[in-house]
Formats: sequence, C-alpha cells, structure tokens
Amino acid sequence: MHKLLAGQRRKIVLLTLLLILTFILAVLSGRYPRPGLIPPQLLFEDPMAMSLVLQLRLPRVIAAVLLGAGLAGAGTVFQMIFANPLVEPGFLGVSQGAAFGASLSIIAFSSSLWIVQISAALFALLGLASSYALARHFRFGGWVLRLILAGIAVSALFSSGIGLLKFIADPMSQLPEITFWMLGGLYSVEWRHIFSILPVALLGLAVMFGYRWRLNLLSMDDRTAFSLGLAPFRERLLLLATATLVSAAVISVSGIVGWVGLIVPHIGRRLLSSDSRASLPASILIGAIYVLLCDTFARTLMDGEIPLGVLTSLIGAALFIFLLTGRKIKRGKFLARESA
Amino acid sequence: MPANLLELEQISYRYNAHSQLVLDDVTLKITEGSVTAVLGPNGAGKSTLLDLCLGWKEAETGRILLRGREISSYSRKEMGQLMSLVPQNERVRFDYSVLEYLLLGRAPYLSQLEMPKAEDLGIAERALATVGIPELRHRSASRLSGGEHQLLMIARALVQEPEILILDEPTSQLDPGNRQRVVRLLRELHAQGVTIIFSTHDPGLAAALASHAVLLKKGKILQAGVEESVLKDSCLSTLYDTEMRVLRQEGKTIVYCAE
Repeated sequence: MHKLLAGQRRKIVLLTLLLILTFILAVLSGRYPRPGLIPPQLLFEDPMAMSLVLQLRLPRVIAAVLLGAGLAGAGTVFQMIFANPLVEPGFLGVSQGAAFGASLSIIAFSSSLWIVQISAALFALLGLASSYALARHFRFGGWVLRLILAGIAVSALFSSGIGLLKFIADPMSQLPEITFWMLGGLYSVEWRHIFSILPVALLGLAVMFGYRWRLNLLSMDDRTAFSLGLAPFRERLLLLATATLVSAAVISVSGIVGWVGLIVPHIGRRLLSSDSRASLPASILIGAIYVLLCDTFARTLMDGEIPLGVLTSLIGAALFIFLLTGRKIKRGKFLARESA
Repeated sequence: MPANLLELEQISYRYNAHSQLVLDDVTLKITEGSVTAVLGPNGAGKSTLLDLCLGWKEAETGRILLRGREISSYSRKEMGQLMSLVPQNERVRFDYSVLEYLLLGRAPYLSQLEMPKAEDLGIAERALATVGIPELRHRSASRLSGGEHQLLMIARALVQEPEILILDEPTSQLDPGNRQRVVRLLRELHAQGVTIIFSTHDPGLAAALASHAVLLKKGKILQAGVEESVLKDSCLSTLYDTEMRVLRQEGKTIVYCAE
C-alpha cells in the first residue's frame, strides 16, 4: 500500500505503548527495598531508592532498549539484504569479530571504554568483510549457503582467537572482563556507556528507518535491483556497514547477546507484513521490548544475576522451535513463504 | 523514418580475460517504437546482449548509445526511468502482496529516503489493470501461478513507465493460453508506442510479435532487419543448424522444423 495499512499502523502504535509500559515497569522492578515493584512514592521519600533508580536502573534499562532495538534492526537489515531469513549479525562473523576485537583491546591495548568500542567495531566490520569475501571464493553451494558456511568459519576463527586471548589473559584483571563479553549482560552499565553508544545507535537506527522501503528493493536479485534504477552494491554496502556498526556499538556495552537479531525480525514480519516499511519499525520495537523483558527477568528472577545472553538465547531458541513446529502456526506459512 | 533509440556500435564482450568472446563485433540499431526479437541457439549471447543494453554488463570494446548519448553517462535513476527489465524468472524472497511488489517499480522516481505515495499506488493499480489481473491486488506475490507471475513481472516493468521494455524469454515457461495473453499484452504496449526488445527460442513468437528480428549465432550477428526479411527458411536453418520452414498464410506465420 502507498501508506501503511490502518491495521499495521495500529499495531505499531500498540507496540510503542507496550514498550513505554515495559520501560516504566522495568525501571520500577528490582530487589530494593524488597523483590518486586518499588512503590513510586518511595522514590520521593527515600533518597537511596531515587539514586538507585537514576544511577543504576535507568541507564541499564535504556541500554536494554538500545541493545534490543539495535540488534533487531540490524537483524532485519541483514535478512533483507542477504534475502535470507536465517541470517543475523551473529551468523556472519560480526558478533564474534566484535568480541575478539574487544578482548584483544582489553589484553593488548587498554580496557578504556572508547578503545574497546573502536576495536570491537573494527573487528566486527572485518568479520563481515571476511565472511563476504570467503563466501565469494567457496566453490560449492548456492550463495546463501556459502555465506552461512563462510560466516560459521569466520566466527570459529574469531572464537579460537578469543580462546587464545583468554589463555594468555591475566586471570585476575583481564579474564573476568573477557568472560563477561562472551556471556553478555548489562549489569555493569553506567551512564557513560549510554552516552558513548547513543550517537552511533541512534544515527544508525535513523539510517535504517530512513531506508525502510528501499530495503525491499535491496532484497531483490542484483540484476532486478539494478534494472529498478538502484546501485545495489553501493546501497547494500552502506546499510550493511550501518547495521554492523550499530551491532558492534550495542554489543560493546553488553557483550554477545544472541538470537535477538534472528528471531525478532521473523516476529515482526509475521505480526505485520514482509514489507520492511512495516517490519523494520515493528522489529525495532519488538526487539527493544524483548531484551528489556529478558534483562528485567535476568536481574530480578533470582538472587544472583542470570547472564542476559543466556536468557535471550534460551527464550529465542524456544520461540524459534515453537514457530517452526507449533500447530497453530503452519510450517508452510513460516519458512516455505520466506526461505523456500 | 523513426529515430534510432538505441545503437550498439561494434560491441564485443567476454566474461573475463581468459574466456572466449561472448559477443563479437555486434552492431545494431533499435528504432523508436519497434519490437525487436533476438533469436539464437543456446549460448549465442542473447541474454548478454540484453544485459549490455540494460547497462548491467559493460562492453569490452565498442559503445552503446541511448538517444545519442553513451549509456554509461546516464545516472542509475535515469536508466531506471528509461528502461525496464522483465527477467526470465525471479524468486520473491519475502511474502509481499501484489501491490507492495508492484510499487517497487516506482524506485527510479523516488529519492533514496522517499516512500511511494498515493500517486505511485495509482500507477501500480493501472499497470495491474493493463496486464489484466486487477483482482489479484491483495494476493501474496509469492503464491501466484507461473502465468500470473509473468504478468506481474511485466506489470512491475510497466510501473517504471519505461521507453524501452526488455524481456528475457517472456513466454518460455507459459502454457499456450498464458502465452497468448502475453502476446496480446505486448501488442497493446507496442501500439502505445513502447519500444520492446525480447529474447526468445520461439521463432513463432518472434513472427507473431516483432517488427524486427536479430539472429545471433556464436556471438555474431547472422542477420538483422525487418522481421519478414530475416525470418526466412534459409536464415533460420543456418541459425539452428537444422531444416526450418516458415509458412506465411492469412497474416499468420508458422515456423516449424522440417526434419
């Protein structure tokens, strides 16, 4: 349709309201003064409560929103550009590359925020570029299969690199930081982390949002996209670099958080439409809600904190299996339509 | 005398430095409003010729002029407005509705961050009516029959409002009924002044549709000119290395293999 259908627009509005509600609940829930929701009036009576919410919970909740939105937006871009509903940044060497870059920086240079982030971003781009280059040189299989295989190979190389770095890391100071990276979590987030990723994350999301219709065109065959007056190579490169930088920025704060970029775009497409004018904003909102919920559970369910990456993968994989096998959702509708 | 719209001057093309020439010294003029059929055996270079016209491939030597200007001097957007392609087949990867799919054809008229507007939707709806499947507007584009999908791809090419429509074997996968629908549609477009270039393995289709024909063999032009002067027993027999006969009766042309 020339504009989003009324139903799609209503769903976007609903998702936005749901995000706001989740945001408020997440800020209020925690384990102080007792597990559960903090009564809002307590915030004004108890300076400790106020400070806890402003200094610890708020930056963490904002980080969760940015992380979810960034990964889901990047996942949608990857899936559209590779015309493959089974890719996400983690599948193409981006996440492992970022983790390797961060670990390398922690060991070899410095664990200062900016240097870790820049190193993570550089290696994320390198991961993507090497997966792409390797896929071009593979001698069997279709393009999509080659790309996924190349991504697995590049990710494995980076993983073994991380293993090596862990081996030589100082077990007291450096190893815990690297381990945090691999498990993924937001417990150490402070305002300075938010300010350091906010520009890249917002600018990147704005670029993706601006290109939301054109993403449909970029999912077409090269020759078709070209005949529609595009410069497909250049435009894909711009969006891939944007998606990779956004992923690297949010991952640099959270460590590796899997499955969000894979599963959320599927939900977005199923709930609204395959047209990325609808599915991209929907995925960004759903991703933010999903990670926010997971992170809130991660810090409130048990006395200790559950690693966020473990939780998103657990729920993500369960959702994926449910989507593929669930009786209500016909299998043909999910995969045959999108990947057959 | 209609003007030359597209001119290929001594075009040669090969995939890479080590491979043989796919097209060898091809010179061709396409006049405005003509319908040109490109015929030739498998591997003769038909698709490459279309890709060169489209600008998707670049010639090794020679030049291609569109309205007297080299095609490489046109911007991508300008090219998208002047020419559109109906590929031989195409997979729709995501589950678009027919209208969402058709709107993609408006890309050459929109800037990078622009969305299609009501006016673009109107053009898409008209194109769907032109190809005769307006009732499918809200159907899923990935669940159409082969014939419907072919008409849909033609409709998307029309949404580009091109001056030149390029079709790669437009009827190769269609049953006789759908083939005839495509023939009728292309005749209507020709009557509206659209210049059409298509490749085909079917000399009968060329005879039914084309005003001009180009016979390509092993990358060279065997014969090119107005349809009646090219689609003859002798030329077609040489082209396909088998005895071909062309029968013209009551305005109909039948081409068959005499062996």
